[in-house]
Amino acid sequence: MNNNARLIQKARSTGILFPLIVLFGFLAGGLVVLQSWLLSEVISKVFLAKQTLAQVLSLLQIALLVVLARSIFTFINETLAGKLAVKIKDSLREELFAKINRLGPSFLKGEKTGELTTTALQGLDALDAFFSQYLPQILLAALLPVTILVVVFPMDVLTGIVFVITAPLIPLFMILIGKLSQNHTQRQWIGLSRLGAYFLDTLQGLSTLMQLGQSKARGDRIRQVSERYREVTMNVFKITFLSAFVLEMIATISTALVAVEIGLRLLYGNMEFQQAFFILLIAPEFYLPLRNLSVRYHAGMNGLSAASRIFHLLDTPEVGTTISFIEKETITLEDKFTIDFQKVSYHYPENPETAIDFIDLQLESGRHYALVGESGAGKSTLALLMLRFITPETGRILLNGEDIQTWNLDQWRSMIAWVPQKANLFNTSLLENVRLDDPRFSEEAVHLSLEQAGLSDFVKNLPDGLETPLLESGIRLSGGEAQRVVLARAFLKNAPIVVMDEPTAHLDIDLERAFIEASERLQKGRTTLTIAHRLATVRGADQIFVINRGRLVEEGTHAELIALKGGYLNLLESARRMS
Amino acid sequence: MKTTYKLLRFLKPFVWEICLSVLLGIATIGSGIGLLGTSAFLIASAALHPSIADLQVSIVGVRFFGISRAGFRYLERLVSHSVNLRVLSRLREWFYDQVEASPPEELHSRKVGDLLNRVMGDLETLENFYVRVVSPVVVAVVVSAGVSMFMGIFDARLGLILVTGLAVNGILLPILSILLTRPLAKKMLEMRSDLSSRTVEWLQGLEVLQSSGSHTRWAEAILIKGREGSSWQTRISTLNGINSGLSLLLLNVTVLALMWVAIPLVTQGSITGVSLAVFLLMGMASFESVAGLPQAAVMLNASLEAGKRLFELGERQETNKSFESLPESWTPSHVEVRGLCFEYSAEENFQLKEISFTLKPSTKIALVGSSGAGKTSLINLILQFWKPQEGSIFLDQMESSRVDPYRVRSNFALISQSTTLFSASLRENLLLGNPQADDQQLLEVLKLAELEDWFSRLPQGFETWIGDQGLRLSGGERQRVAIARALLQNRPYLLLDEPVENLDPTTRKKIMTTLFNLFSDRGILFITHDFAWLDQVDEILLLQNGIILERGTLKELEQSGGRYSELIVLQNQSLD
Repeated sequence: MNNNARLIQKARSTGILFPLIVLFGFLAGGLVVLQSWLLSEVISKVFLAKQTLAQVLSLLQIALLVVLARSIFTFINETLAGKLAVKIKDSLREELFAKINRLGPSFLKGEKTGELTTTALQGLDALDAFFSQYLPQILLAALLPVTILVVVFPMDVLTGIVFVITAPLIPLFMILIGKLSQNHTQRQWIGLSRLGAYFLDTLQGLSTLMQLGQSKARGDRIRQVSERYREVTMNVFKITFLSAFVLEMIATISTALVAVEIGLRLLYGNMEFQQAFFILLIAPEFYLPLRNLSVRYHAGMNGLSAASRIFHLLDTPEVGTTISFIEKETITLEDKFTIDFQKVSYHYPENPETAIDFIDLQLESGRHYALVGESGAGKSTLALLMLRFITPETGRILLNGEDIQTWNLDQWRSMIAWVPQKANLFNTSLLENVRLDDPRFSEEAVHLSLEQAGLSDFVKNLPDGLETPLLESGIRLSGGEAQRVVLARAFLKNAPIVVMDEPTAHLDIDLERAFIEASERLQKGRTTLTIAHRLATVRGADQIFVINRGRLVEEGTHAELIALKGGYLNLLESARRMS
Repeated sequence: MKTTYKLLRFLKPFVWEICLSVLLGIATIGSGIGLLGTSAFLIASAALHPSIADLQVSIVGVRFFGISRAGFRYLERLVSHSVNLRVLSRLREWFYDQVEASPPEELHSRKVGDLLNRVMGDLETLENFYVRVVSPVVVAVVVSAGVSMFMGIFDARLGLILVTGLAVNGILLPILSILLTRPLAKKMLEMRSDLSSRTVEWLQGLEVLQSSGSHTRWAEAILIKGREGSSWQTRISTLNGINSGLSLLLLNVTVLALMWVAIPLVTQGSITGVSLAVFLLMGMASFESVAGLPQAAVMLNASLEAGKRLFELGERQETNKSFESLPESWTPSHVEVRGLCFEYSAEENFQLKEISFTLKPSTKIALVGSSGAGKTSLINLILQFWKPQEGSIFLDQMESSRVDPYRVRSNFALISQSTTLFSASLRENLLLGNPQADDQQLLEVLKLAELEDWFSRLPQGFETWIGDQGLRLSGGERQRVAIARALLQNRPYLLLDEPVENLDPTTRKKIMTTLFNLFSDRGILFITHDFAWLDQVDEILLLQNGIILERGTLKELEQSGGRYSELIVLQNQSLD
C-alpha cells in the first residue's frame, strides 16, 4: 500500500471526523454558489428592473444568512481538521514509540538516534500540516470546482467549456514546473547549503580564527560570500517563482476570457445579465481552491516525505523477538546455575564483518569473569547478547540447558544488573534515577543502596536529599559520582548476574578508589561478567576470556594466561607501552 | 519602538529597491481589483446593449489586467526577495563585525552552541522583516486608502464602510487573535521543547531503560506529555478556526453593507446601476490587500523580539583602549605567569589558584592533572580570551593586558582538540595558518603531520572539500590537519592542549617526536593527561583542584612519593 493511501486510511480510521471535515468544507465552499446567485439577483433587480432596497431586502437578508452559515461552516471545518491532525499525530506517536521499544537499542546503534529524533518530532509535526491543511484542501479542490461546473454548464455551455479546459492546467503546470524547478534547485543546492553554512561555520570557529589572527580578513570574505549567495539564490528563485506565476496567469487570464466572452454575448443579446453576472462572480471562486492547493502543496509534500520515513520505520522487521509469556521460576542469588554460549555468532546489519564468531564459553554461578581484547574485538557484543538486546544468528545461549530466548524478556532482564561504561542518568530526581527498575522500592532501600555505592556523604550534601533533581538543579555530579549512582541502581536491583562495562581509568585517585570499592562490594556473591579495563579486575577474575576479532582466543586465570605468553601478554604489554 | 527604528535603519540603503517592490505590490493587487472592476463594468455596460465601440476600452482593460497581475506579482517577488537577501547580508556583516571586535569571553562560554543557534534563528527571522512585515503593511495601507477614496468620491458612506471593514479585518482581527493565541502558543512551545528533550533522553537511554524493564513506563510518560501538548494545540486550532470564520464573515458583511447603502443611491439616481456592480466586485477584490496582515503582525512580533536580542548581543560600548606601541618585529623573550587566579563562574567546578611559571624559548613545561582541572582555561588566559581575577601574565616586563590582543596572539601557535576546521577546501583551511604559504610549504607541513599518505589518496588534492567543520575527516585526520596548520604558523611559542590524544599510539609517537624536535628552540607549554613524553620536558606542573600540587622534573616528582607517583600507579593499572 503506498504512503498516500495509508495516510488517507489513517484519516478514515478516526471515524466520523474525516467525513465531517469534508462535509463542512464542501458546505462552506458550496454555499458560494448560492451567495453568488443571490448577489447577482439583487444587482440585476436593482440595475435593470429598477427595484428599490425594500424590494430586494429579503434577498439581502437571505444572503446575510448564507454568509453567516459559510463562516460557521468554515470555523467548524478548520477546527475539526485541527482535531483530526492532533488525533492522528497522537496515535502515530504511540505506534512509533511502541515500535522503537520493540526494536530496542541495537536498532539505535550508530548515528540513527539523531535521525530518529527528527522523525519522531519534526516528522510528526509535518504530518500535522498534511492533515490539517493539505488533505482537506485537496478534497475541496476536487469537489468544489465540480460542483460549480454542475451549476454553470446548464446555464452557459461556453463558459463551462472554458472552465473545463483551463482548470486541469493548474495542477498540470504545478507539477511540471515543480519538477523543473526541483531539478534546477537540486543542482544549485550543494553550493547553496555550503554558502549558507559559511556564516555559522565562521561564528563557531571565531576563537580559532582569532587565535590564528585571521578574524578580520574573514569579515571581508563574509561580504563576498554573502554576495555570491544572493546571486545564486536569486537564480534559483527566478525559476521557482515561475510556478506561482503560471498558476496566477491561468486563473486571471481565464477570468478575463470568461468576462469578455460573456460580455460580448450579452451585448448581442444572447444571454441574460443576471446569468452573466453570476458567472463573473463565480469565476474567481472556481479557481480559488486550486490556487489554495498550490499554496499548500509544500505542506503536502513535506508531509508525504515525513510519512514515508515514519512508515519505513514502522515497517522495519523485528528480528528475533519471539515473545514468550511463559513465566519461569526466577533465579535468585542463592541458586546454582550455569550459562552456556554454544557456537554463538552475530554480525551487525550495517557491518559485513562478523562481530562474534562461533564463541563457546561457560559461566558458572558465583564466579567472576573478565572479558579482554582490543576495542572492536566483540566484547560489548557479548554483553548485548547476554542482555538479549540482540539475538544470536547461529548457536544458542543456554541457562541450565534451556535456551534463554524461551524466557519472557522482562523476566530475563530482571535477573541481570547492567552497568554500562558511561553512566546514563535521567532528568528526574535521584530517587527515581536509582529505583529505575521498579518505582515501588522504598526510600529506605534506596538509601541503603546509595550507601553501598559509597554515596551517603554525597546524598547528605544534596539540598533536597533523594528528591533533588539530578540534571536541572545545577548540581554537578562528577563522572565518578554518576557512575556510582548507576552502581546504586544495581545494588537495589539485587540481581544474581551483573554485566559490567568498566569505566576506563580516570586521573582522579579518590574517585577511582571509591568506584573500585563499590563495584567490588557489588560483585561479591554474584555472577559477574566484566568488560575489563583495569589490571586489578583481571587479576581478581576467576576466569579471563581473551577475545580477538570476534573469536575466543585464550581463556584462563591471570597467571595461566601470562604463562601462555600469547595474546593476553601482548595485550598487557601494549597497554604498558602506551603509558 | 527603538528596535523598530533600528530595524528600519537597516533598510535605508535599499530605499529605492523597496519603493519599487512596494509599487509592484500595489500594482499586483490593483490589477486584481482592476480585473474584477472592469469585468463588472464590461458586463453591466453590455447589458445596456451599447455599440461594440463603447465596450472596446473596457475589453482592453479586462485583458490588460488579466495578464498584468501575474507579471507584477512575479516581478514583485523577485525584487522583494533580492532586498531580503541584501538585508540579511548586511545584518550578518554588521553582527560579525560587532562580535569580532568585542571581548571574546562570551564566545567561549559553554552555551556558545545555544547562542549561535539562536543568532542564526534570529537572523533568519529578521530576514523576513521586510518581505513579510514592511511591504505588506505599506501595500495594504495604500490600496485600502485608494479603493476607499475612490468609492468615497461617489458617496462618503461607501468609502467609510469599506475602510472600516478593511481596517477591522486587517488590524483589529489579527491583533485580537495574537493576544488570544500568544499565551497558548508560548505554552505549546514549552511543551514541545519538553517533549523533544524527553524523547531524546529516552532514545539515548533506551539500553539502560530496557535492561531495567522500565522502557514502557518511560515511553508512556512521554506519550502522556505528548497528549497534553496536543490538547493545547487543539485549542489553538479552534482559535484559528474562529479567526478564519470571522474574517470571511467580515468580508461578506462589508460587501452586503456596501450594497445596502448603494442600492438606494441607484434608486435615487445619484450613482448608476453599472457602478453598483463595479463597487460590489471591487469591494470584494480589495480585501486581498489585507490578507497578508495577520501574518505580518505575527512576524512583526517575532522580528521585534529577534531584533531586540540581536541588538543586545551585538551592540557594545566601544572601549577605546590604547595599547603599548611595539616595534613591528616584537617577540617577547619570555612569558611569565605570575600568581594567576581565575574562576569561570560560581557554578563551574574549575578554577585556578596562584598559578606561576615562566615559559622561555627552548624550554618545555608540562601541565598534567585530571580533566576539568582548569588546564585549558590557562590557555584562554594566555591568549587573552579571558581575563584573570588576580595576578597577571607578563610578556617581557609588559603586562599582557596592555598589549593589543592581536599582537599577543601572534606569538603563539595552538594545537588543541577543540581546534575548529572550517567548511572549506583543505587548502583554505591550511592557509589560515599562513595565507602566504605556497604548495611546497603546504606539502611540507602535511608530511610533518603524518598526512602524506592520506593526502596522496585525495582525488582533488588541496581542493578537497573537507565538509562542515571538517566532519568528513576522521577525528585523527582532523587533528592532524589542525597540527599541520599550526606548523605553518611558525610562532615563537607553542601551546599544546592534549595535541595527540585521539590518535593511534604509533602516530602519536611520531608526531610528538616531530613537534619536540622541530620546536626545540621554541617555548612549549604541553598540557596532557597522558604521562608519556614527560621525560622530555624541563618542568612538570601537577594541577589538582586548581592549584599546583607538585612541580619539578620527572625525576624529582617520581622520587618525592607524592600524588604524582600515585597517579603513575593508576595509569599503569589501565589495560587500555
